[in-house]
Amino acid sequence: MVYFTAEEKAAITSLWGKVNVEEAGGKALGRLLIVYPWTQRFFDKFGNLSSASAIMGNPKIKAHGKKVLNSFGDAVENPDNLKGTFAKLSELHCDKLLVDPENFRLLGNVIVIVLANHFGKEFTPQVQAAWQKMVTGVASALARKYH
Amino acid sequence: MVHFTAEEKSAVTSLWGKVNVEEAGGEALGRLLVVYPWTQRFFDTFGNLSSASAIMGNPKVKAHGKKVLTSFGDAVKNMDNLKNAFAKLSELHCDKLHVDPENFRLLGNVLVIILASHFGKEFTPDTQAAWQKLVSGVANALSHKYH
Repeated sequence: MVYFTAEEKAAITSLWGKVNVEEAGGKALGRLLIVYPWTQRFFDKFGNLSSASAIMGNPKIKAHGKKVLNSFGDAVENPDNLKGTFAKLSELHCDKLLVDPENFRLLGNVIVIVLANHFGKEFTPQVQAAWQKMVTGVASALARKYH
Repeated sequence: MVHFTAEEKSAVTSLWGKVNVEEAGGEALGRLLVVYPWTQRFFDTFGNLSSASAIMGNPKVKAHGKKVLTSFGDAVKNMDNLKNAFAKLSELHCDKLHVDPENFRLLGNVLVIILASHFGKEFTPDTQAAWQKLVSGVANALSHKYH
């Protein structure tokens, strides 16, 4: 189980408070599909994914990205119980969505990149460390119910 | 073997031209040691690594980071032949330094984060994709001679 210090929790929540979840979610999901093109296979009903600009401008991608990152908000609120928080989503991703858990790690890394990109200097090494720990914890929690 | 399109090569080289290798190198190595603390084991002769600020300010970390990132410059110049470009370094990291190759992937990801943090909007999804491909290629090339 992953443990967060008080400083790590503070670093996470203070940054999260400034995140535009709709915008960041769309960017994170869009960038995942561009940087790791095989992930597009999960979104073949989403319409035009034929280029980077098509993907970043795609309204379904933006909407779904917002949904995914909103769910990350649950992680920020429940850092001491990520496994419990993501239990149902873990079952969903395994049993219905059939997503390889490696993709959770990839998306987590893209989220960190989007945060670094947006926050610049404010994304200090300590903040990066706390967020890297968070995304790793979420990826593990999402993989937990796989069988 | 990894192949780069003309656009990918151009995205990589144009960004690289604006990178302050000394500064970015120190930043990348420092952040690796902060975000993934076990990597400090390779640098126990480097002096004070007791806190994030100690690490980021440590002159040996900065100097070594510059050395490592300068070597990345060879990757940028030899994108079509990463395995050869890093053959000797691969042997060194395996036979003398005993570094787990997973750490090359971690450092590559930290480098992408730094570029994202530094370049803001200029670090477009396409640029990110090209750089992610390069750091993966370098990590593979550095692992290639392991036995």
